[in-house]
Amino acid sequence: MGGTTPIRTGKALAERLLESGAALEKFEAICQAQGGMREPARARHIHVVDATRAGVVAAFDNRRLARIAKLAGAPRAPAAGLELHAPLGTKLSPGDPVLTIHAETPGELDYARAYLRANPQIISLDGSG
Amino acid sequence: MPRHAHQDPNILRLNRLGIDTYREPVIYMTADCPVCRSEGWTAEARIQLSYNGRSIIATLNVVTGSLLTPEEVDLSEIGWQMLGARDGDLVSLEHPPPLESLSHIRAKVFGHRLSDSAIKSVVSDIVDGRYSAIELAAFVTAFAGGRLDLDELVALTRAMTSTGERLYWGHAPIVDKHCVGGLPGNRTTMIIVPIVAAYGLTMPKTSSRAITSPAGTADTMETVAPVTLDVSAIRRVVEREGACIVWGGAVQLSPADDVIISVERPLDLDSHEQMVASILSKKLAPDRRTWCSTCRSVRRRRYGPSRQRTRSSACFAPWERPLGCKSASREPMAANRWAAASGRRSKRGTCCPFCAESRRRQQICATARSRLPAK
Repeated sequence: MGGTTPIRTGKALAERLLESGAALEKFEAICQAQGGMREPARARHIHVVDATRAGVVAAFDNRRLARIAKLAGAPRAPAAGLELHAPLGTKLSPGDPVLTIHAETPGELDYARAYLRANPQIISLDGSG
Repeated sequence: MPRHAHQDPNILRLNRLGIDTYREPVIYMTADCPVCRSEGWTAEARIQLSYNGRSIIATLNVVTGSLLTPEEVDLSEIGWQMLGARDGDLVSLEHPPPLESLSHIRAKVFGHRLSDSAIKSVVSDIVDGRYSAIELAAFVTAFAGGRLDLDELVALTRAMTSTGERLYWGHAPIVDKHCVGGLPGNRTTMIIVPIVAAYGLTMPKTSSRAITSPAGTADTMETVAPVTLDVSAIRRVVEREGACIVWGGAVQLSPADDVIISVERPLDLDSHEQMVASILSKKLAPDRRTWCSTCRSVRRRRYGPSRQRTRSSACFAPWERPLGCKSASREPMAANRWAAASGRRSKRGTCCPFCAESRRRQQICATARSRLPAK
């Protein structure tokens, strides 16, 4: 698009910029220029959801996953939402952490947990491990 | 002569109750309010309010009970903001002029083609806040589902762009990225922008906040850095780092889109036509034209260091208003069109209209490519 590198060399160029740390350095510089880089806030209440059975993470229901984050208080509470520990393809044993719900109030945390309990198919596991 | 509430029956006192209606201004009046009775207004009527030289159009909600007296009116919070009024101020009420452009919406529903000027009048009425939420919903529906041909789509995009603020950057190319989105947590902007900027290209990126999703890119970016920057701050950041990741809502790049989105989301109707016009109306706002150094210094002298203009301003960019020409069309004019209109032939290598004026300037003019940082 910028016409500054030959066709088909863009991807390698982008990877080099990522691996060399130049892109990260630029991101930090942009944050500084916009008024200062900061650590993301931590929500007051968290709850770790563990796998109840063994299996490989096969699919996520994105619409419902987004719903959990909203019930937990996103985007109004910037630190609320959820943190995924098991991307697609992860092998899980019972008790392994799958995701953590972050919320600013206990009520919102309960609300999000209840929704996940009622919709266990949000994260589908393949096989029995 | 000071006007009092009791002298003109259409002047009432504002009483702030503090009601949030998101983007639609709503006016609250009692059922037995004398103005309501004499003007024949009932709930959902559209009413024009004027205060201190400003006027807005609001939808009427009728209040029973003791929240307001018959001599008082309230506005939803967006209405107070738009009018710039304060608690206790006097406001005058009247019927708004008929909304002529609504006939174009009707024409579209019945399958007619719309002219450029018809589309322009619809968009300008939307930006002026003359459409109610119901009328906006009709607009969004009528323009969806493949009812626009290419010319109409171009006209819609042009109309939406021309009502917004435009940012000018002194060089080219200016690059951009856009994702349709839909995956929660998918944050390509925050990865792509630094890569592209680290390479030396210029990418002034504006992103949105969440409306129905758990987080927009602007929301995510805000957890690590401020994103509510005004135009001059954005310019400072981009001049220093070659890129920014800021909240687009803080600068009015496409006020029409800001309004349209507010009804599109609740309808869950993201038409392809509207999406194209919406995206382009924001992307065209950062201008991609190349300026030679002479012209940039001329612009700086003429318009000051910000070099950023609004379309409604009396002052136009040079290609829109050739030097010395007082009757220039208000339509943006590309370099070659300007050259044609002024009897000059467009020359190869010309990067802006000023260059067509003098060979000397043409020589100073550097091309976009040579301007890119050496890699």
